[in-house]
Amino acid sequence: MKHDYLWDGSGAPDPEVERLERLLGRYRHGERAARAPRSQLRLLRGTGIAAALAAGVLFYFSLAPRAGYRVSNMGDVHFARAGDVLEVGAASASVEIESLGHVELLPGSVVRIEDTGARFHALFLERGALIASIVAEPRVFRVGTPAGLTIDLGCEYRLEVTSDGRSLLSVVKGQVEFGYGGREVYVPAGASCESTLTRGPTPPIFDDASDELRELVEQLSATGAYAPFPAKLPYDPELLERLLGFEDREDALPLFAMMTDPGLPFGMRDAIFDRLHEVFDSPESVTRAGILAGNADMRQDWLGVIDHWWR
Amino acid sequence: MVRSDSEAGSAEAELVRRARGGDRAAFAELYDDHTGLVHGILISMVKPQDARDLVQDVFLSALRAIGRLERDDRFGPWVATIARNRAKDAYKSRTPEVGLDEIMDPPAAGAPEEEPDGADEEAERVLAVVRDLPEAYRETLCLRLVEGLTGPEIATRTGLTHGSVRVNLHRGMKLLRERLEGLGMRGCSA
Repeated sequence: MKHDYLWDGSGAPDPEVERLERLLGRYRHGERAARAPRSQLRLLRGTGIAAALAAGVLFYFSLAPRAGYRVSNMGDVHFARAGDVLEVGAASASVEIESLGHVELLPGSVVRIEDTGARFHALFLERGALIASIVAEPRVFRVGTPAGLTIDLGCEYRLEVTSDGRSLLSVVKGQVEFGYGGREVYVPAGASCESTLTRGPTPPIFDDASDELRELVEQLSATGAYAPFPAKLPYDPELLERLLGFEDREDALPLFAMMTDPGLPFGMRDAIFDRLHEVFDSPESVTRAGILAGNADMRQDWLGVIDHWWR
Repeated sequence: MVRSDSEAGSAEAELVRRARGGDRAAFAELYDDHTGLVHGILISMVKPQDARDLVQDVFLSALRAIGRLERDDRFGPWVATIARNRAKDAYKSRTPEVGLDEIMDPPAAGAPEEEPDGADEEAERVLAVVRDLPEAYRETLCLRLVEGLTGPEIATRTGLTHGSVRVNLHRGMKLLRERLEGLGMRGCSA
């Protein structure tokens, strides 16, 4: 078979192709951050997002499997490997997730180390609470709980497993995808939600939301598709009417999660779409039919616009 | 061990089935296997910094929509389509980037904060020339020259035939050589 360097790298290298590979290889995913052109470096410095560059570098170095994590303030335990279970005493302990950041384990927590970088970095919080501060590309770091999995999208968040089995998530910086049992919600910085084994995550709300909104979302979360199985109570249309009446854009965060939840009656999702469409611009790519049919691309497009108001 | 295309396709289909069932480790594996493909497509259409940011968006979209992927063995072509659409939307919605002419002949207003070294500047200019090629060529060349995928790998992951990829590579490379030569940027003779 004839050798063809451009096609499959076989045979004598074509000098021009080799030169272009060397030149453009600096942009390769996982390598480009370390060798970004300086004109980009200037832009990154100027816009204050050099952290993104650092994240790329850290991601690059995170690819190789490591033996374990350094542990601080846990008595004789200084190192943890995959499979180890850390039982935290009366004082907080800290786990260094390689060069990605660290996780503070709060007193009384029990955390299992699931993966130390062979595939990704993963912990499982059996009980207690942790605060994760991670600078990494998405999906590199994750924390499981009995009632949900947090997928890090580059952020800082607090996660707690309560004695009654609920998982509570509060995002401090960045954004987190939180999912369980087929229900997934997007939680931006400043917002929280909780998840249980029987219903998955509730619609998130911002931490500074009014008590009225908070109570309303709690009430809605106890009915219909959000109700803990098997005690399903019907939705109360009046609750939704009240939720639709909130005027602040931040108060629409739970609506966005509910709009595409397949468990909600179509009429409710239709009303939510109308309200969100009224409050936020929607890109041309977004249509009512597409959104209500669960078109994920449209949802993501619209979220891209709405998110601007939430940050 | 080298896996055949059909074995790789079957393994990928199994990952898709598991990911659809909520297995996040399986989705993470799909992410790892396809980031080069997604990033290569994105960088053929948007600036490098935007491409890096959009990789996350593309996989978030894929995660949300994987239940609607009709053929389990077509994750690559499917996520490639999402990447192209995201890049097109980003291109439409963001401020116009610097044109090729400006990159080739930058304005001399004010002293630069920091002089780029020769290789970095050359890379920036060559990438701009690649991205100015017709879509089929620029995407295939970015996957080959930026991400380091071979022609057969590009074909498997994008769902294109080997023949199409080979044609795009060779015609794209020929056009790229001509344009670089026209701009006085050819480093070696073929």
